[in-house]
Amino acid sequence: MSDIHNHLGVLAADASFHEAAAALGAAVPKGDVRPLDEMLHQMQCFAAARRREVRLARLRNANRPGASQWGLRGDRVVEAISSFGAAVKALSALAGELRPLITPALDDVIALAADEGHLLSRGFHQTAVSLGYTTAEVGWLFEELALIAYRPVHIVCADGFEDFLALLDGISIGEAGLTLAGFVRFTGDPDTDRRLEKLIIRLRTAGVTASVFLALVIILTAHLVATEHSPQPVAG
Amino acid sequence: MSAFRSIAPGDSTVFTTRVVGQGPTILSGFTPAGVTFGRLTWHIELCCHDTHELDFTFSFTGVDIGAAGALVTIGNVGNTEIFVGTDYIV
Repeated sequence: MSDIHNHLGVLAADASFHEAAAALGAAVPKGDVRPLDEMLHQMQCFAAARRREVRLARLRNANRPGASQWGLRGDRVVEAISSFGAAVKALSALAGELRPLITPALDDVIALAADEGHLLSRGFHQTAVSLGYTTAEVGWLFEELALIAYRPVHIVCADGFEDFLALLDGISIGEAGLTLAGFVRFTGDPDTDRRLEKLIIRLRTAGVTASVFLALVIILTAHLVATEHSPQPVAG
Repeated sequence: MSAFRSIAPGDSTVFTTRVVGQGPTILSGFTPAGVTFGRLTWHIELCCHDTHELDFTFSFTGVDIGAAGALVTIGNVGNTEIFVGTDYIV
């Protein structure tokens, strides 16, 4: 079992989480929800490649001679892009299954992570690390969450659940550079891009950058709530 | 040059920047006839970037907003309409 699972798995025993999740009982999907394993595994496959690209970008920015020779081989880049693409696809499938839970009421659970000692906060931290973010970048991600009071659903889904799907559609899988993976680019679909632009501007007004991390926080929490209410514990 | 977009005071728009290695993305803009001053902010939508602010009189050109391949949000933080565009056509 991974560190992420360890951190998130014991949440069921936490009284504050139990109480917040109980309020969402009526919204728990009736059918099975797929495990997180596949999505997390693909993200971890991508993480090493991203870390290396971030280090390489720093060397290039510092004009270090020969930095380019440290770049990933083409096949490793393709592998990393493929892994992250599969992770985003799994996130989208999870979003569909967890849709009834992805409402502003879910923010009451997510807001527990405002306490940095809370297991939920530690689980989010582990997830960010698993994505290949550096310590400094993880600090930045949590600062972003703090800017919206750890209540991402109300701002991401301000114009409905379709905005969340647009965010997932807009997430770069690194096809234009691995350091872009996880951040948003336009899709080429006019309707999706109109939603994306409104979402990006809404988040920017709050001082926040649209990224896969916001989607992960929402999906992980919704999955945990579903697990909490499932008579048969959901795997993963 | 991309088409210039009108941005009302308090509003924003989003452009795509050139990918790393393709040279910088250049931002330009101007105020409507009879308007002297404009003020905008721009922010690259990636981790750990700062928001930059720019004041201008009548027009500006040649502002390098970098090459990241990411989106950039341009906000009008002045009191009058402005027009902005980049030299990168997607």
